Amino acid sequence: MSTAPAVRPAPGPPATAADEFPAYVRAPTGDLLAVVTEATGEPLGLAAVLLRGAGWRPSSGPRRTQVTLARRLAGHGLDAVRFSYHGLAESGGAGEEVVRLDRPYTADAGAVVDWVADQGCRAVLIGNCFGARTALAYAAGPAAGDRVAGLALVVPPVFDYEVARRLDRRPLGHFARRARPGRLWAVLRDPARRRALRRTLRAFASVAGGKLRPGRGPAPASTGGAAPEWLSPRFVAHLRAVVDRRIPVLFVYGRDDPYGADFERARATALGPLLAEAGGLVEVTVVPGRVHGLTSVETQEAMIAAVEAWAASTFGRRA
Amino acid sequence: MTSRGGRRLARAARAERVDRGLGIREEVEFFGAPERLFGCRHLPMDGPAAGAPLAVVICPPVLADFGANYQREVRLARRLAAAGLPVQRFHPRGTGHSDGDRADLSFAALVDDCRAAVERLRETCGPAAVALVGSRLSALAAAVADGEGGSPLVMWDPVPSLRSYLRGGLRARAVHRVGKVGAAPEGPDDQRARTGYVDVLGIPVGPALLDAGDVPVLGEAVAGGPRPLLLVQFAPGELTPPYAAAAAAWRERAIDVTAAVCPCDESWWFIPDRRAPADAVLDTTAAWLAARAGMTAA
Repeated sequence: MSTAPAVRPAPGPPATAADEFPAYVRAPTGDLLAVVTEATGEPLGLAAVLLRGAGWRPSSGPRRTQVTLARRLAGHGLDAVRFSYHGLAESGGAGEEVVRLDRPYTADAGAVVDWVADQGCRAVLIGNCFGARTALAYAAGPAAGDRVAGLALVVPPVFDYEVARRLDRRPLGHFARRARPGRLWAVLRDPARRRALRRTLRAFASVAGGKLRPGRGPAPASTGGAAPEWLSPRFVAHLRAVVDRRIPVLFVYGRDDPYGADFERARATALGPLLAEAGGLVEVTVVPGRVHGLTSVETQEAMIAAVEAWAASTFGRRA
Repeated sequence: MTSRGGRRLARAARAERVDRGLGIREEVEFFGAPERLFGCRHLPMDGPAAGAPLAVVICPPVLADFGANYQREVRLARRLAAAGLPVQRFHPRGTGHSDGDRADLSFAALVDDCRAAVERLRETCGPAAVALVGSRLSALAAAVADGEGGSPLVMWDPVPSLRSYLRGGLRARAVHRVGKVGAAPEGPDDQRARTGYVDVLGIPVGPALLDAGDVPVLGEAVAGGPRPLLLVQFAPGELTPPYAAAAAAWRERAIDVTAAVCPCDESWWFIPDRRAPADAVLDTTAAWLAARAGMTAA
């Protein structure tokens, strides 16, 4: 684990909108609106594909970090593609009300990687939260072939709850607000939200059970015991697959990220041997602050610098 | 995009999508110079609607509001296009995919960008009239951008003033930091002295906005005269005192005000984890604009 190294100076200037153009990418889920950034440095034949987290936001975010990152990577010779998932922003198709980590949008990711491959480039997938899990799932799957040259996973959750449904970390006021009669009625009327409520209540029961009977909960990190019960088998299997394919991987967490603490706990148990086997192929960088949500400009800069430094050192031309 | 062999592919100036289900076309492009704006036009399927009786420019809000309102604006645009009204959306400078530094965002630039979007819509569609839809701070910018134009104007949950808007942002910043364990309690003034901006929930707000002195308050932002105006309040209950006062001031100046309360579970400065309901906002706005165009909303 390391803090981000200094970024090697880019051979080209950061891109601007003058170096960008929009394109629609046909996917089984709908036509996806992508914004393509052309390399301003000497082209490497690689395209960064940026996958954002879940939520009702366009592909410029979170907090416009995908725009900043794409334009900076252009200076290092990477083209970049940021796109909106189906049903979101300018993309076509129908979006889901509830986004689940065990159902990543691999069809969307695959369509964009195929489009990039058609342009003669390999993809470096850079995902945030749900986007990181989608990138990992796609890269581990059979459709990826040799089209993925690298993976930067920014604050990926290592469990399979629905995104932003880590119940034991929600303040009680959050649930009180959501329990208003009007909202409850809206949930009960909608089949998808009813199913989500059932999953939430089951997860509540599981969390409460773990707190009442701590002996049945996950082993403390320091003991190197069994895998935490919440550790996603899918996450482990996907990471195993990309390590077997020798794809370079970067993990980025914030020092204050609960997801980072989860990762460290998993690393002390089931993930440890896999990461040890991967050796230098997998890097873990921890930056100050909280990367999930990126609600601090300084943390955004640190995250972007970490990815930029990794991309430059992993794929940049050697002097 | 350039392959490893150095082959640079031809790039289209704009991307197009046809949605046969909705009966619309969408054109996405960068426009303007020297700094370029990201824009999307939503058009009826049957052509550019040259000479349409009315077209609409949606002026998005900025800072944290930009993402919060995004999907609502897309849904409105698609609905209006399906009803036969061309719509232009855009990202202001320093926001979204457009050029510009976030910390350089200013009210004057926001007004200029609204005007640039109107101009782009006129170039491409040549409508008889252009209506403006603005939310939060951009509602004031849309009003100023139109000036004496007398265009139909829709204001979604407008801020009463820039001062009150920034106060809300600073309150949200303070609340956010209270919840942080071990966070350095750096105040906004100290942070500004150190960095040149105030970090409001991950968005740098610079002096161009913090010190802007020429931003009218809500009641004064709209030029007088016979123009139709729809004010949409997102909070439930009676019209809030600032909105009631603004509506009264507008009516005194012969502005034809329609005030609507469309409860919408929107927290603005704080990020919700799912889409806020907006059907009442969309229904009300689409019907009002269609009536201005002498059409029926889809």
